[in-house]
Amino acid sequence: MKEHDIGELERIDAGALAGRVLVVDDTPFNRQLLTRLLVKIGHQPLEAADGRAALALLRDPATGPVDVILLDIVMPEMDGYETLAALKADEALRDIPVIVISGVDELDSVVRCIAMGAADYLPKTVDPAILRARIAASLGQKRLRDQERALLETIDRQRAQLARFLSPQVAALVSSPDGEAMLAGHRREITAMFCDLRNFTTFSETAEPEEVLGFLRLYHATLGALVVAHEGTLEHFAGDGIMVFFNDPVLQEDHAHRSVQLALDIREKFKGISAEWRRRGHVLEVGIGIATGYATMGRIGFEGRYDYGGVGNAIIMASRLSGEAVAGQILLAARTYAAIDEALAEPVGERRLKGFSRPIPVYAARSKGPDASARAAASGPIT
Amino acid sequence: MTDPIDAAVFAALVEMTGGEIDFVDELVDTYLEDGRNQLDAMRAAVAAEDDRSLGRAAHSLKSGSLNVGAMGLGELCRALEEAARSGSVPDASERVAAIDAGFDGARRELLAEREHRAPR
Repeated sequence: MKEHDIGELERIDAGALAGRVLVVDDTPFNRQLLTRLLVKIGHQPLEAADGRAALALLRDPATGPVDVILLDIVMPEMDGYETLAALKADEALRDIPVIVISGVDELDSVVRCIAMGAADYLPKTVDPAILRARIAASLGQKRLRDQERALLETIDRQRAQLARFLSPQVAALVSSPDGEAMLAGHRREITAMFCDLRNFTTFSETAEPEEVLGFLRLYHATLGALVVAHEGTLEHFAGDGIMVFFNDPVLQEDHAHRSVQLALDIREKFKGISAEWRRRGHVLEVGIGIATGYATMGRIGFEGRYDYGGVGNAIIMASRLSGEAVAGQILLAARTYAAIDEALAEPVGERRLKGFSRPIPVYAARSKGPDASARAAASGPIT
Repeated sequence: MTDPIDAAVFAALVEMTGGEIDFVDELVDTYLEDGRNQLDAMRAAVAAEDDRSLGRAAHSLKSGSLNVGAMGLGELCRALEEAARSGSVPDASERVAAIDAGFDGARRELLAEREHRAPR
């Protein structure tokens, strides 16, 4: 029945992983036998006489980590099934492999335990070779799971840190499985929105530097929150200019609509800020340009300093349209206008833009979008 | 049900401990002490007509018995455990008496084995 003695086994896998093994069995004979065998094969045993005692021990911070649990099925005071269910329901304990100890006449119980999440089983008339092999296998599994957990925690931490430097979408992309291919470059239809300030140069020349920095902080905080709320991908902040993409890296079917909604919200939010600064003697207004088209998106830059960005006509056009916009104006290119509810904008003629050989038709977002009229209607009857 | 203790199974237990006879003696002492407790529990369960406790005690004595080589006793325990689980054990006191006798026989043989090798 038993083919190996302990001495032989020790020679076979000297240096195998040692672990802390909890023996849960109500029969003193079994506990004594198992704990002694565990010591002999290099593990550190702990004991509990039933499920309740085992859970109390496992949840006691003084116990320290347990690597494997050997669990008897028939026990008074919380049997093996109840104990297994409680272990699997406990976030902190569910990853500890459970080896069920079973008599030969209890094999259907073993099946039930494995269905409930037990890792393996061990016959009651225990063969040290089998004990050693099963514990080693479960320990290996546990180590892997621990490493996996630590790795996932590291990734989460890094992602959180990255998100402070990159837009959340790009931070998620960097740590995603297909991130490398996406960063290497891909072509996609996007909507680009460029926003900057009229008179910012004059303002920065006439205002105190502290005022300029204070204003920029407020401006960036206001726009940053709106970009996140509309799930845009912030490409960069450069002084008073910001570039936001939609439909990349996260796909958004309504990218043109989203960008216009973001622009309308920026304009609305900025009204208050603008009025505040006007009282201080500075005229500051936003101008926004939006264009839709294909662009090559990905990692742009050089070794040591890369940005996530894009190259394409739509991006240049958004920037040029922003330059064309007068105070508080939101200018759209034709493809953006075509993709949104036409009530949101109206044609404002053709413009010659630097770098574009022919004049292009331009549209301006209406000052009262459907949202604004809905709000007006809700606030009371218009007389 | 010839020998109370199956010599081959007992030898396997000794082998399992790596031939540490002191450990074997400790295990046998634990078995005998716990066995007495389980028999007390069985008698109490019969008096109280508590099948659940009866089955649990039989289960407990069974696993130790099979490990020390008391195969016949283990089988009596297994049968009682099963009967108790099914709900009614009309002959409970006869079964417990048989287990008591089986345990006594096993105990004598285990202690005799120890006596026998003591002078070595």
